[in-house]
Amino acid sequence: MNPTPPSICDESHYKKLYLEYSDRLYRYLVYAYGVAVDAEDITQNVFLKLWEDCSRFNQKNIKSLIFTMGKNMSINQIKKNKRGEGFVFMDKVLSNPESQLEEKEFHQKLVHSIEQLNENERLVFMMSRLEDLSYKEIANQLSISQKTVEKRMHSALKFLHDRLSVNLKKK
Amino acid sequence: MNRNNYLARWSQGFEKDETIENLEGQDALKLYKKILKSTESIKVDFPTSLEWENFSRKLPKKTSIKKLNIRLIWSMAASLVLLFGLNLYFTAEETITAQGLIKHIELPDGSLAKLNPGSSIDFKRTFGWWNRNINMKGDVVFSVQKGIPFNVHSSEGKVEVLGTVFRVISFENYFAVSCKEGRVAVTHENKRLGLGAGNAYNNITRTVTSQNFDKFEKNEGLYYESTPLAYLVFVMEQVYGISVELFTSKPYYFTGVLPIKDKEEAFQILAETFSLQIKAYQNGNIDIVEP
Repeated sequence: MNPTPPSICDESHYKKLYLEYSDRLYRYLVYAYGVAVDAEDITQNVFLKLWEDCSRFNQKNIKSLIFTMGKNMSINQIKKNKRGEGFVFMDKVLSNPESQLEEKEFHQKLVHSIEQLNENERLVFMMSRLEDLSYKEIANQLSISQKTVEKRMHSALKFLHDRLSVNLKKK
Repeated sequence: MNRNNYLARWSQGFEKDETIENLEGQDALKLYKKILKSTESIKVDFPTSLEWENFSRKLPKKTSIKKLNIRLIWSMAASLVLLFGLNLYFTAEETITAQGLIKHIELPDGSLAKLNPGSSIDFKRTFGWWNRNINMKGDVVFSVQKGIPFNVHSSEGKVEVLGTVFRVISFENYFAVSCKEGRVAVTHENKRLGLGAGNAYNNITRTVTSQNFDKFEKNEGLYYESTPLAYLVFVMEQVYGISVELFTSKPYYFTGVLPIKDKEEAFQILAETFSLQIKAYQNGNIDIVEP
């Protein structure tokens, strides 16, 4: 007989969930939507909703639920604010302040190129490079196959290479 | 080699640099390496407002407690409703009034009350459970079943009995008790006295007198002993549904039987008894005046 999973309404369990997923959700929203949404606000709202309606939610699908809520809130916010045009990180993504000037320039171009990636590729690229997640972990988090993750990562690297090599040649 | 994922595999260390160099050239490999290195310096700061210590302050009170509270509130509300309901039940009073007629009532304990015109009684719904307290106004004859003490409360005095038949009149400073059977204890103006069968007491004479109950029960009327005329006027008003004005300079006390089915006879008796005059109006109202 399987033990009953702890309830989300249990404060210690809720805290565990928060510590495990709030950071991931926030970064996911930044990678996926950039400044088009207020990732901080949405992350808070997702977890507040989870707390307020804790008895309604099934513990089994909690991860999927958190990300789905985050995505839905983001889409609503984009529609409401009509900020769908283009993707930008702006100040959400920071570079190392101690970098050399050349490195800084390259870095800026890289960030700009990452912004040009489509959402799926950007998510995989950012999760792999910034979160240092394995493809299996990314596949699990995004609920897609590992092969799809690898394909998207490959395409992302190809795209960035092509964009940056053109820029470098111009220079 | 899968053409769709070799860069992905290489970036995670599953393919050698040579593989990329062979496929894309040395410059491309350098650029890919630069891209990966540069991304190492990218970071997304996690806002301090989202750190648990800060976020947890914004959480409303624990939901599970809320649920418990709701349950608690419901049970408290139910208890209050129950208590309120019980209180209502236990404190609810039955009030019975005999407007212009004699009314016979059977009380919850099986005792009987005969309410003469203009009289009323009231008692709690729990009458007979652990006490038999009854409030009365006017003129009521009680025939009490044996049992726990039976107490009659009126504005003028109190009568305590166990099992007996007695009559109490309580009306505007007039208080009279007559005991037909058994024994009653009368409390009036902080004085307590006992009345045996056939005894009567009122606050006019302030003495215990004998009373023949057979006399008035055989007649079609109400028997009074030393009863204020003002009270009889009140009874007549109740019985006949008229307004009676009493214009007298002194109090009159009536002893005898007053008919309640013949208005003219009743007022005739009162007028002759006290040598008073009766003025009857077309609307039925009556003035009683001194000659």
